[in-house]
Amino acid sequence: MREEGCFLVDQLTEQTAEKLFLYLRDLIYDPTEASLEVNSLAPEFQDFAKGLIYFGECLKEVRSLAHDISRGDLGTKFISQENELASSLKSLQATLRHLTWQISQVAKGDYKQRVSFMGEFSQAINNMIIQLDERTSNLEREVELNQLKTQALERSNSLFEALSYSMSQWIILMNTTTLERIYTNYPASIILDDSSTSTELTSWLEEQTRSLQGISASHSSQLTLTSDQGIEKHFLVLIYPMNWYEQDALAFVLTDVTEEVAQREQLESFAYIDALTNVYNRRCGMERLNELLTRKANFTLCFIDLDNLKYVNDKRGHGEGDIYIRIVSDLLSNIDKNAIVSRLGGDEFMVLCEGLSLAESKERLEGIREQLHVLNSQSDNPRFYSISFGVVEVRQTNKHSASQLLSIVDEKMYEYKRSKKTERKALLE
Amino acid sequence: MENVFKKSIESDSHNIFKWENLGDIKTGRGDLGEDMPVLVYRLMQFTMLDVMTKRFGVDKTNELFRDAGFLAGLEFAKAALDLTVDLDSFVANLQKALEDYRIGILRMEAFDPESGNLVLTVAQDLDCSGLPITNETVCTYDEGFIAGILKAYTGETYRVREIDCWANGDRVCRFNGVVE
Repeated sequence: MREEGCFLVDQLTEQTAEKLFLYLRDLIYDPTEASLEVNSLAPEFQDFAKGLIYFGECLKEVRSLAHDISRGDLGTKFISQENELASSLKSLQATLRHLTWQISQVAKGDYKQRVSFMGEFSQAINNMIIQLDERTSNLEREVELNQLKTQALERSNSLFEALSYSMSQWIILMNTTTLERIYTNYPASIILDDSSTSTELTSWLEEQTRSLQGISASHSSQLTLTSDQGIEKHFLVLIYPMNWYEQDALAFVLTDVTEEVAQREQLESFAYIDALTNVYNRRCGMERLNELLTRKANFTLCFIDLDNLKYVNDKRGHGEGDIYIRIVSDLLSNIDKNAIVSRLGGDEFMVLCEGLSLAESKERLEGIREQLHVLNSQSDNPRFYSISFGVVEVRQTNKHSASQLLSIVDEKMYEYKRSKKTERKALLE
Repeated sequence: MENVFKKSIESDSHNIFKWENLGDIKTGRGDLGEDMPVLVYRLMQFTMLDVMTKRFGVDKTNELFRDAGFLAGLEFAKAALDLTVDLDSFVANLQKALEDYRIGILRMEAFDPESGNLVLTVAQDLDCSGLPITNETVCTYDEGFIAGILKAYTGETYRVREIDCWANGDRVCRFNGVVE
């Protein structure tokens, strides 16, 4: 009986050992199937079994949490507070959740975040945050700098636009390769829209661009445009080589100098034109004479003196004398289309005739003298208009100076005057 | 004879907490300094816990400790933290302040901006780190302390509870804060 009892106990112990073994095996390899009926075990193993079941539950929780973490699910699943086996995993879960929160803070721009609990990984993360901070700061500085630059550029651009819009100059940029206009300011664009001037201006710009291709320094030029109505406009053009938006270009700045040209011409006329007769004055006449001599031209030099001018002035007043001078001046101006007529003094004129022979010149001057006499005869009031003249022919072999030639021709004029003394006296009677 | 000064002194009693009544520690402890071992702090805390538990029971003692922590958190936040900054800056400042005062290392795990609910951990905690894990909640003072800080900043009343703790060398406490 005792032996039978011992057998039964041994059998129960054996069965318990097997159940415990199988349970432990299932805990490891097949946890979902792991189950243990405590009451079916030998009494002395039941507390051990309860502990083993609790261990199994702890292990199950650890497995579940490890599985979630391994899949990146940091979620909100928290392990029971009493599960000591899960300490490290809890710590890892908390660390990763905190790290996630820190990274989200960094993403929002909080670069003060530092990781201090994960060894080398912390160092790598912290380095990344520091670099992000530096790069962000650099970018912010760059953005700030660029904003300042942009503001300065906007101000400059707005100033340039205002100036280029309101300034009278035309600014035109020509691409030196394609000969296309790549920029025109507002005043220039108005002119270029006007077809009558546009064609002439465009051709000139293209021609200049082509010929000035490759220049490295600024250049100046002049341009005259004629409108459909025949009105001439004069321009001073400054040309600057430049590179604009990676295009080699020439900037043409055209300034309308029409008024200045007119003023200059007027000033020149004051300097060279005789105010009473509108023919050249002595200064200009002498310059022209010297020019002819310098280029060794063939021409006739005529010296004309008005007869009786003093008499007219004394008897009829200076107004009548001026009329007399203008009549002679007008007649001399028509002597030949190429003739250069100048008034040398009160009653003296000089005419330079290139292309007329000595005889032709004398003949035409005689014609003028005759015309004056005709005028005298046609007038109700007595007139005393007449001229005396001397003519010399100047050839390219001439060795005389201008003043020498004037002395010669002056003498010839006096010879002529003396020869006509009787005639002149008759005129005054 | 009645002490006519007593009434005015009572209003300044140390039994009524005022931040100013913490005193001028630096001057008062000129030689010993402002710091002391954590051991002394815990000695006072756990003896008080012992006496109060024996007199009032565990639940009441925990409730009183939580209330004391709340008052401490509220006054600490008002005195040591800028309550006008945005949440991210506030959390960063709070982490720094808790480290500067050697209270613990605060780590935010989650914050729901819609509900205001949060989960955080405190490691190397002044109250409990190093204590053996006994499967009981010991950080009731911390629960109140955190709720007090959150009240000072958000104006909301939080119910903060320690939901987990573990030890890996030092004890780490995990707290769940829910807006009530």
